[in-house]
Amino acid sequence: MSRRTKIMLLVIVPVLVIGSLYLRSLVRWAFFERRQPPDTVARAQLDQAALQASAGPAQTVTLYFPSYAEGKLRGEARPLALATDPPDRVRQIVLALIEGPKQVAGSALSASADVRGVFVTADGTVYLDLSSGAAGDFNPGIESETLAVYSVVDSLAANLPEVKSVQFLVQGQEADTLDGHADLTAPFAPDTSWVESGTGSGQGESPAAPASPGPGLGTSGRS
Amino acid sequence: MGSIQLRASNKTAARDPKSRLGRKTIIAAILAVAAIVWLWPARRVRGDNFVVYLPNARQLLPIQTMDGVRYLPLVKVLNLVGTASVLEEKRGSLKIALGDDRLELHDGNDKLKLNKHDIRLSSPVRVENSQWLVPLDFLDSVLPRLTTESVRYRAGDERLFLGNVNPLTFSARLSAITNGDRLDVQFTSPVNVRTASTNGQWVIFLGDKALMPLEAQMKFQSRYVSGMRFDDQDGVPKLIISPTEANLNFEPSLTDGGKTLQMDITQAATPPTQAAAGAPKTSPPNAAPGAAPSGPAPGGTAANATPQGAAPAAPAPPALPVVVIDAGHGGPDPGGHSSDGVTERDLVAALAARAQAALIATGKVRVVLTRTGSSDPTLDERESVSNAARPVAFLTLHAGDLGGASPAMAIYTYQAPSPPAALVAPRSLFVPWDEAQQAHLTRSRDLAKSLAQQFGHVQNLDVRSPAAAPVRQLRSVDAPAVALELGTLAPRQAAEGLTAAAFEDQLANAIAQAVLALAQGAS
Repeated sequence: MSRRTKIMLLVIVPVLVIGSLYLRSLVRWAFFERRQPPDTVARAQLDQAALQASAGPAQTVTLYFPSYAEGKLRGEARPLALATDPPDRVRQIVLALIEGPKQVAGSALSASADVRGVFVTADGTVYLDLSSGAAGDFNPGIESETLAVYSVVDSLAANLPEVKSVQFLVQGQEADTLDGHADLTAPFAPDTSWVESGTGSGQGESPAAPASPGPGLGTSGRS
Repeated sequence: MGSIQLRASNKTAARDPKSRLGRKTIIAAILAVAAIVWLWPARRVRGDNFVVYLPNARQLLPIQTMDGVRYLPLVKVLNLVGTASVLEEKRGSLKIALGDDRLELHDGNDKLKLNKHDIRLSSPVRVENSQWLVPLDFLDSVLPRLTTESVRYRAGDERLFLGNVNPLTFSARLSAITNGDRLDVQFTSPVNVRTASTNGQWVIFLGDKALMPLEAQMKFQSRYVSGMRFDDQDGVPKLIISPTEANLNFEPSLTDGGKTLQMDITQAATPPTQAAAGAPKTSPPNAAPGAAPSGPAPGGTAANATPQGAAPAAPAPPALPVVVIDAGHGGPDPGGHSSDGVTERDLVAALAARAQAALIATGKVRVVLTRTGSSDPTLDERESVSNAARPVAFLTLHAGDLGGASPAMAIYTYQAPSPPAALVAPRSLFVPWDEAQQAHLTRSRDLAKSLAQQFGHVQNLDVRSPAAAPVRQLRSVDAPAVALELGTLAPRQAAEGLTAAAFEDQLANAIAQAVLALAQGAS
């Protein structure tokens, strides 16, 4: 091996090693360690706090999911340890709806939907601020949007007696519609006519036992 | 020697009558061909004007109609939104710069390139007399991408609203009065009018405001007035009213703070007693222009009295009732879609067109569409169009996921998210915009039932029982209103069965029958 070749190797080999290490760290940063936006992190922390803020043992709650074949909502009983704070309880139930059904029918809200904030007024109106993802991955339509809206409203009302109506917000703003069809300009009162007969309104099959605190005033999130 | 022989033979030919006849024939043929060539463009090109309403001005562009397609001069259109400069023009292609935008067109090609993106027009670009021409749909497919200004163009119209221009619109209603008819034209904002009489027609000049008519032409089944049309070809918006006969009295007056133009068209009294009546009147339509046309009459009253001894005229049949059809989504909003690329926007537009044809074919209703072409009015704009037209029925058409059932039809009436306070509050003269539908819920349910019944006759169609839902599109409609959702249109499923012409015709006929039943019940 000539002297010249040795010098070349001494230069090239370290360059290759350093380059490959840099490339590896770049790949790791780009695909595995990219930081989430601060608001996403904050929301995740709020969701986590709400889910962990359980007051006691798991209770059976009834969640309503759409059955598009019938154009109705079907109830699904699920154990859930509800928090004491009303906004946290609302958040828990909506997150469970976003998580999707385990036994019945289809999803009400898109899996990419997020709860940005919850505000419960003294008269029992819930201001539910959803991320734009709630309408983003949605298959638009009158029936699908109506079922999505009443899935949330009826699930909250069935499990949380203090909830009298739900005003939807999207990205912190009042929205005209969810995705072009359902009228979101006013608060929604529960309407059990969308619930398929026989699946109960929550009290019938597996009594949902909303936590005792009455109509409360509270906030959660950033709305 | 040869040349002498040739001259001799030419002289012989000149004297030959047969040869003279042949030369005349050739000259005549050449002249005929020249005449055809000269007249050909005039025969296939017809000149009209396209009106562009700008915030403080109006501009007229010449429309050239060629082979049934209406064209506008490209450079003049582009100059509306900037200063267009030709970069390169060679062998049937043109490159234009407009600010940062680059446009490339080819003669005879319906595809153009805007900033390297292909856009397809409804008809090919043409070059006529060195002038580049584009079809009218250029106005809604390309122009909005070249400017940040608002561009409002309704497909098929010959007017465009550019910039901060909020056009008025109007609806008309004909009703019988003693010895004549009353034509009420209600505008969405106050107008100033001036009347004139010309060529046997009454002309109402509507001042300097921009107008977008819902229906440019209306025909009436009346003994006194046969029709009314809107015209702004010269940049001056006006209504032209055609009476059925000469010697009718015409008394226009503005009411409702200038928002309603009331026109009484009555049989002239015999002998004429206009002087005694005192109220100013326009002359009969065939009077000399300028002889009597006047401004709006301040509510003439005595003129409407039935002349003594004259048999009272039979009441004029009212104008045809209006049905409003709203095809959901539109423009850049495709709505839902199927696995085979059918979009809700196109599916419901096709169904709306068929329903319109089926309704008009009955000869008993007029139809107003809230959107045509690739326009996408807001929900409030659609409701405004409907409320201005005062329809007997409003249908909004949608397509969506009905759980896989196909073909299926869901029918909805409006249900407010919460019980409205207005139901408890005492009724007022003014109806809150958000609660306009509340007063019509019973009739809306009747229409829904009637539609469900008619859809029941459509083969293989799974018809769901009418339901009440918080459909935003119905909320502010001041008429019986339903939403129809055709299914299933979902990304997991093909929609070929929904687009069959025979199937859509059946749906359209069912809609026509149900609406007609409601309209006849109302009348």
